[in-house]
Amino acid sequence: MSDDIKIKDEPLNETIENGEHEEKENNESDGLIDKITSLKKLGPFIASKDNSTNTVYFSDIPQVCKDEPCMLGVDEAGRGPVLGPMVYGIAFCPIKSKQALIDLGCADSKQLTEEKRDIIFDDINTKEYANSCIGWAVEIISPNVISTSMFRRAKCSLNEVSMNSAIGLIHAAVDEGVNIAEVYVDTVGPPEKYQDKLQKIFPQFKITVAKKADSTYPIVSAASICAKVSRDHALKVWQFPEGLKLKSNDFGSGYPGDPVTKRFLSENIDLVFGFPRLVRFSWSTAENALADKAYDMEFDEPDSEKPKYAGPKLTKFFKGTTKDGEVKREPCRLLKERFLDSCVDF
Amino acid sequence: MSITIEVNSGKIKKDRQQLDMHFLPANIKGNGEANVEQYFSAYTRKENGFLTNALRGYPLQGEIKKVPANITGVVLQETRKPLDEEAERILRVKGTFEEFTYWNYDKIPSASDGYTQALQIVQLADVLSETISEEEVLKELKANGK
Repeated sequence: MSDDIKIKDEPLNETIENGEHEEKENNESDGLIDKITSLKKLGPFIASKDNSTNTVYFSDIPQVCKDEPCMLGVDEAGRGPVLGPMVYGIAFCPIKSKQALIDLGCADSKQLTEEKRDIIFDDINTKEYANSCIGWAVEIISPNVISTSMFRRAKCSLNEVSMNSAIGLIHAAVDEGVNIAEVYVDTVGPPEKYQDKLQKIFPQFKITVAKKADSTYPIVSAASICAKVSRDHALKVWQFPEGLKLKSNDFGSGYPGDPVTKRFLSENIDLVFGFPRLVRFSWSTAENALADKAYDMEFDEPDSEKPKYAGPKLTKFFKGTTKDGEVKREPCRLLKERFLDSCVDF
Repeated sequence: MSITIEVNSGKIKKDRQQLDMHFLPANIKGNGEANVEQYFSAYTRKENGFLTNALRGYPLQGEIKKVPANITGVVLQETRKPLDEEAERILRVKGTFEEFTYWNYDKIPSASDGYTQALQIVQLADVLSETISEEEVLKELKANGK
């Protein structure tokens, strides 16, 4: 008996250690790009990941973010486009370090040009006054994951995907040791509902959910810049396992109204599989394009919500013969239950 | 109506070029070549012991199934289906397979899947077509007290 207990105790510790070893080895085998230390490293880092699954990246956590009470901002990029990943970003720094955000130029991020965003992102990672107090993280949500979540039998809306990502990133920041005091979130949908939900999950933080939070709160603006720059780079380095040799200027912004995107969608249809998985199949733009040009495809129906009445019908006693008196035979139950039927035409 | 299946048995045995076969939970209303490797197989991943993939954004879960022992999976191809239902049809053996990937739409494959249950026909057919000797029949009759 005592042997049993020993065996149960030890492997637990061992598996935890093994997990850590594996992680380190993986990082090494990925090559040199396990850390994003500047804008230049961002593209190669994203390119080294499987673009059909999600990727989470955390910057180094400055020691002050563990010691001092911090504010944390959450924002997203690439929610509307029919192409490419949606990226969730967080940024955090001590409440008293707000000036660093302002010095970086983290103001209304929608007003910033792509070049300006790239510069700020580079500064966050390279400038000593910034990287000594600001940490950030992104989750790159693959278009493949967006489609398969929204097309599950129990549908998972884009809002749910979004909230889960935001909540996951905040949890991860807590696990990394960030001393969070205040959380600012750019809203998806009505702010009140979202705020209640977050407050229940994180009762220990002061949570503010607001529309256009990225223009009001510099920390949200920083999160927004990290998300947007990551989304832009993810598109730039996109590799098609489908073998298409296309660059990001061949598929455009991804917004359904963009003529380049429209042309990309109409010219890259596979009759059977539809689109390459850069495309979000769950967008009506994509569905409509396929309805016109690809083979029709019918799936196993999702489980219907209302179970139909399954008991015997009263009229069943009158069945069994056709009008001219011919007796119809029920197929044998054994075969019926196994979905077996005779087939003469194929 | 008669159907001729052209089998080059030498070919079946010799070039065991195993086809990459997938059983999909969807009815595709079209016929022709498909870019299976690039658009589909390239995305197969392993998760918790099962395979995952997606078809037009619909999540799939699957597993590799072996064709039952003593049975060969065969793909038949018909160049053109005759319009006249009475006309003779010719099907050619295009290739063979011993295993294939079975996919469910967002459901882990299990013994309750219709397709898995339908495969029991193989055992059923074996039992039904077994030869019975006269003695066995007599024995059975005796045991039933007749």
